[in-house]
Amino acid sequence: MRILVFFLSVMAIGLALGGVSAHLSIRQSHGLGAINVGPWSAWPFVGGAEVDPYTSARSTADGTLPLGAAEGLSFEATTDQNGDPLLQNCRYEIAGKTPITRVWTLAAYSDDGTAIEARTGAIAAFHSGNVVRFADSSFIIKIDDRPSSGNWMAIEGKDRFKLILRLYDTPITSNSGVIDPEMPKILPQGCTS
Amino acid sequence: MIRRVLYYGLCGVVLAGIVHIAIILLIPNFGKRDAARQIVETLPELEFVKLNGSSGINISAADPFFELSACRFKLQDAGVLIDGNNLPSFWSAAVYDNKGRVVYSMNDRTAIGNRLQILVVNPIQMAALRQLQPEELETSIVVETPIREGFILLRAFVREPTQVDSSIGFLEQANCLPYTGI
Repeated sequence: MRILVFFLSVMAIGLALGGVSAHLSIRQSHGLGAINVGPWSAWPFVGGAEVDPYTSARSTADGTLPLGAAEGLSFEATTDQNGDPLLQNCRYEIAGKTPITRVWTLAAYSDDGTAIEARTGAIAAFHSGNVVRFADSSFIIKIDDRPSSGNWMAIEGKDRFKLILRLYDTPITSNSGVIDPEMPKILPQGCTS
Repeated sequence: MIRRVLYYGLCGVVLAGIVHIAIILLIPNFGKRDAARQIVETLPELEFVKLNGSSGINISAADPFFELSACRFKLQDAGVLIDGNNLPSFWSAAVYDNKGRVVYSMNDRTAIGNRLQILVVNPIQMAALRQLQPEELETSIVVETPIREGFILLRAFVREPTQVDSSIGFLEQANCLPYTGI
């Protein structure tokens, strides 16, 4: 009897703790092996030969194909500047500059990794060649369910979503290590219930 | 009693550590949504296939401004020579092993004369290449890799996802051939 209790309780603790900790270590946005700039996280070693098992497990479980180090670096955000989760029924302004890069793209995805499409069929995405900028090359992209002037990404719904900013051919992935990059801010502008 | 609870707890934590490590290390073998596995299991060898909806391959969080095309290869018998023209404004290429780990990556600035020509060989074929010094050694990027099989992925930047432009031609006309020069 005692052996059975011992066996069952050890199994229960082991499986529960082990499973939860494994899940958290690859699911959390600011997970292991990441560099974090405000709400943005990137995994610079995902595209190299020295990828750690956590980063590797993460991209397999997500079903993504990581960008190679010479191709670019992708930054993911699941929260706004204040750390609150990004919600499809809220409005945001993505404001600022990106690090130096040849091409960048910004797209919104639902939790399962599909690109979010607006009612019009247009995808909620921008790239460095079609974003309207200010004179100092900074930009503001508005995320709103109602039409808006300037750079507007139409997102409607209630669920959580994530933003992925990909920098292609950027010097910040070079061997000199990742310098603290300047990333645009994700500023919350209120929600509709 | 307290001692026994502590003992049970400690054994549980040790088991949790083993379970944690096992899960992390086993995910690359058993992941259900694994993009690399889909490519390895569905695509034919030595042929570029575009990874859009019709290929049946679902890559999570794919960039809407990039078209992808992949070619599977095996290096046992011969190297693989990839070449293409009709280059779009930005493109990049990466060699992955069968588990989706990047072995080599490049973008169009790494290319020689803005031309896509990559030769993937294993170390033995590389030694033969060095001796024979074929023409391809100078015109192409030679990637020496210990992997036996894997795939190469081309990414082409598309300014307007709804418009068919040069990047499509780039992906459709890219060749993926066994290299028999050695």
